[in-house]
Amino acid sequence: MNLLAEHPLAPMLRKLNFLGRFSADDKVALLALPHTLKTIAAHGYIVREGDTATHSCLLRTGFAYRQKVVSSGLRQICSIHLPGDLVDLQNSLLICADHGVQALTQIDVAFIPREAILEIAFQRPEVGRAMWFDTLVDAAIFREWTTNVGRREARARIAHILCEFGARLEAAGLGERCDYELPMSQELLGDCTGLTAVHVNRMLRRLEDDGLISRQARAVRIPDWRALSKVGDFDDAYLHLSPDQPAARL
Amino acid sequence: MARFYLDLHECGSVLQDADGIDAESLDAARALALTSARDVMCGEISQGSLCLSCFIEICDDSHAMLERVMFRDAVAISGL
Repeated sequence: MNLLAEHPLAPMLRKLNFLGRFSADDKVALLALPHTLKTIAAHGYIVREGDTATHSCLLRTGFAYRQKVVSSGLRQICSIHLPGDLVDLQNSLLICADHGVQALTQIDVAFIPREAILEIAFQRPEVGRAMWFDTLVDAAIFREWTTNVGRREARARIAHILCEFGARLEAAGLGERCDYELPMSQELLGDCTGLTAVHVNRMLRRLEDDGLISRQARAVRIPDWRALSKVGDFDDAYLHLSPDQPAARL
Repeated sequence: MARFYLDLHECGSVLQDADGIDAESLDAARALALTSARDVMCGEISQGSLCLSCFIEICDDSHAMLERVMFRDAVAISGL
């Protein structure tokens, strides 16, 4: 029996230790963090904008997204989160949630008290470094999405999102970058890319017509990764996926 | 809340909306269709073209057509 695989916080350990620097004691301390397990239905909130955060949340299964709603009621999705992600780690320090986090599918989560996160981050330098690294990569994703919505044409925006989702799924060991289930409706894709659902539908069709993707229900297949990456102006450097990167040597 | 489907009719081809959208009323669905028409036109204009004959059909759950929103009616055009 693999006890680590069954531990509720194991997805967090796998994600944070991707640079491979944790000591055995670091790993034990991470898995010993106090936590509360919860299941949240699709579209349910993990944290709402304006909340005073008492916990940060580990996404154990399912998908979630960060979002902001403008005064007209329109929603902008700022990032998608996968199992193993700490979806609001920044709230451990910032305390006041400046955006909401919602379940995209039904999700299993673990809420970890912010005091416990701060304590382990400051007492164990490698854990603190990993959490810092994780929030920096989150910020890199936000920058990329801002660029995507602000400066790429509609077809490229959709291509970029499809590439990012595939690349992150594969990196997390949750699927293959060229063949996966996309858990998003056209409306949600539109909220990710600043487009209406009709426009998203049109761009998905165009990508299909160009032979860059094929779809069946929510299944997406990418026959030529390089071609779709080129159309989507996608370079995975901003995801910092390689454990051999300079950060691992510092 | 009801489910509406916004099918895009574009220069002879039809792009069916398989997902649909939730809207409180046909009025709300019409507003979404109008926004969608303008959004698609923005994309076209940014690529240097525009067809005002395209339209969006609002359909119900059984895919019966309820209303048509013409692109040419979604914008006020002047200066031609």
